Amino acid sequence: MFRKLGLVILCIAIGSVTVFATGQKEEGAAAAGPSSGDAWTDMVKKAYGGMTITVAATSHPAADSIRAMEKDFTALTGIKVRWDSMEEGLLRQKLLMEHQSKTGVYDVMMIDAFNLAEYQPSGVALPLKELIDNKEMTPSWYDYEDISGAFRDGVGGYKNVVYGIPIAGETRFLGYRKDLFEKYGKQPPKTLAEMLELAKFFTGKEPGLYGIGMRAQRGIHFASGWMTLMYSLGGEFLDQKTWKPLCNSPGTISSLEYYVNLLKYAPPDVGVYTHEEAISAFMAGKTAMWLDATAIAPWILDPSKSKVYDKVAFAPPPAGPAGDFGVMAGWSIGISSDSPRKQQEAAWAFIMYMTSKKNSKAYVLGGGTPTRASLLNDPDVLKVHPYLPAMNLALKSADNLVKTGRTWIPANVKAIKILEVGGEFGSRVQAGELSAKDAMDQAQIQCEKIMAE
Amino acid sequence: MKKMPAHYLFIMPALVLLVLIVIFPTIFLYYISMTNYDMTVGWDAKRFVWFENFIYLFLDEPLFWKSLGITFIFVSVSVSCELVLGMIVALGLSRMNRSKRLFVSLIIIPMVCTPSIISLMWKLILNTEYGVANYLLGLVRIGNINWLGTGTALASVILVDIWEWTPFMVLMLYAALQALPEEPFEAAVADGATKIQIFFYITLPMMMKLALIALTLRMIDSFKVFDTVYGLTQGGPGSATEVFSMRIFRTGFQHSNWTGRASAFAIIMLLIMSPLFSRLTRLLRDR
Repeated sequence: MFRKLGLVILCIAIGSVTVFATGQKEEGAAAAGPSSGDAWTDMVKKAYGGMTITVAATSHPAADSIRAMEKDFTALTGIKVRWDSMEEGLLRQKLLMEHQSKTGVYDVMMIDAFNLAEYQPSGVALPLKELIDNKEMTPSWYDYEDISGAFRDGVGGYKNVVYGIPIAGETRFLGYRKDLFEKYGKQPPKTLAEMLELAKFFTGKEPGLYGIGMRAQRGIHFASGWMTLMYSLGGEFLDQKTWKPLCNSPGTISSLEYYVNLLKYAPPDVGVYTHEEAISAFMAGKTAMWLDATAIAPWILDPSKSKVYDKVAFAPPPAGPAGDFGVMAGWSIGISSDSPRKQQEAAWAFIMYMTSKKNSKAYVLGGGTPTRASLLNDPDVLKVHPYLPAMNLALKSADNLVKTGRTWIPANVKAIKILEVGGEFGSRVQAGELSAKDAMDQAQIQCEKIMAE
Repeated sequence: MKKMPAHYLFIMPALVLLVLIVIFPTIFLYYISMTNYDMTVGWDAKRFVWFENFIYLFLDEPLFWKSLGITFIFVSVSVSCELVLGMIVALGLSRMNRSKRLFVSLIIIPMVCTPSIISLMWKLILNTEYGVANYLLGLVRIGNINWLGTGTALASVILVDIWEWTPFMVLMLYAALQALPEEPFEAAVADGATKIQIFFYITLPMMMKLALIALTLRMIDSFKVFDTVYGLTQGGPGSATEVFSMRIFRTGFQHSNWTGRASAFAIIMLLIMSPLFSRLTRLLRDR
């Protein structure tokens, strides 16, 4: 199944890259869509006007952009929106707990593709196919097919069921200080060995400068940072065919050793860094490189947030000895399965409005990540997101992994537990409490128990 | 039919509330601790496993004993520092004549702030690269300190707790000082006692009971510390700040989802803390 899915994702990603590279133009901005007086708007206003929907969200440029469009949505449809914003780990726990208690307090929810495997068995999110296929609820101007297939399936779907509309398809890439690279005559790294060398080279080269900033806070953040490079270094937590844990395989151990070694050239308190601290250190000019999520790259280019907004360039993630395997992750926006039917329909109207082809440009210009193929070559969008070419190359690397029949986050309900264990032991190696071999031997025992439960 | 005595009727709302928010959840906790309940798999899929979770914690859980040790260090260092500092500030406050109200209003600010916000604020303050703490230290030529590194993170978490909760001690001890009668002090001065003698032989013994209550309350509270650790380090780097409640949270919610196992953890915590509860009850009763 993965091979098939991989092929589809590959074709779509290559297609989108080609479209981007050749500069072919697809019209997006002039498309029909939600506006005063059209049939869909009238229907929504009549059926759901005056209702209030609640959105469970996290701090993310995608959420910021949607919030900026909320006023227009309410003015157009009469549906009021209440926001409950929280840290992403907390959001996951809250969604699971609310679902267990069947409270239905949230109608719309931001879904991390990371967590879909966990949400699926107990049915946290509503499958959206019925709403997408309903021509009254989803007129043709919505153009679901225009959403990049790689994101549609890899971010919004799980096991061929659509649970969310992608709002931040993301991969990971390298941000680097082009001024420093030029000053010292260096080129962005093509391999992980070169990246390690460069991290070493830049550490201490300028006062207070470190080589790289990545996430390494104990637990899932550590696992997530490590997994950015793990596959390219020949490691993996789980055999995705047999679901046998591979924590103490030579590849996984050496990938951990590499990551811990790389983190020696990060700021000294990197052990408590999430993506926020990692990007903040880069934006403050404290690190020469940064390897993290494309979705938060707009922060780096924002003069009000970043000291280095005009001194950076982006490159795809470096390849490793085992191959060039990138990351496919992101956020989608879906509907709670516990919300009453009418609330769910109002929630869908909200999602439709925010992710429609017509509004996609406003969403992207407001800081959201482009997920629609029609926007990838839009000059206005490129002005706001100059990193898109590098992102598309990184997506190609992500497809390399899918081609091997694997997904970045293994598609297993227990994968997050495995990652949590891996991230916990990895952090202990980084803190000097255990050697990589000992830590991974212990992690293997725990993971085998988890998989056997 | 015999009529229900009126006093039952009056205490009924309180009893119902108690059953709903305290007794039922506690019984439920004991029940869950004997199952393999996992939130992601769902309620129906759970199985009764008797004491398997407890056995796992004592024998297999890699950080059970370590997290207990870290918690004891955290409680003993933070609460004793808070007590000593609280006493010093309370004594100073009782001698203050002017601006006392302003001073009290200022020092209670840390205590009334939301702990999660405090921890995030301190995470920024203590950031090695762009934190205010290192910036200020840099002005007096003290080099960059890695506040949240492996060897220093626990001390930093304790520091934040002391900053946050010393005001509580100050208020409790200051109230105790205010309630002391003046006669013994006047008699001691008349007898020629020094200030140190007055403090150790009169002030301290007379306010001992209230100080013990404050100490016990703080011990119970700091044993449960969570928000500060969660916001600052999430138990890391490595397992440097993995306090007991953080371990429970990680087991039950932070991706592990072993709700049954986490409930067993919580029961052990409850049993460890019970002597403190009974001591507090005794102190309050004897007062």
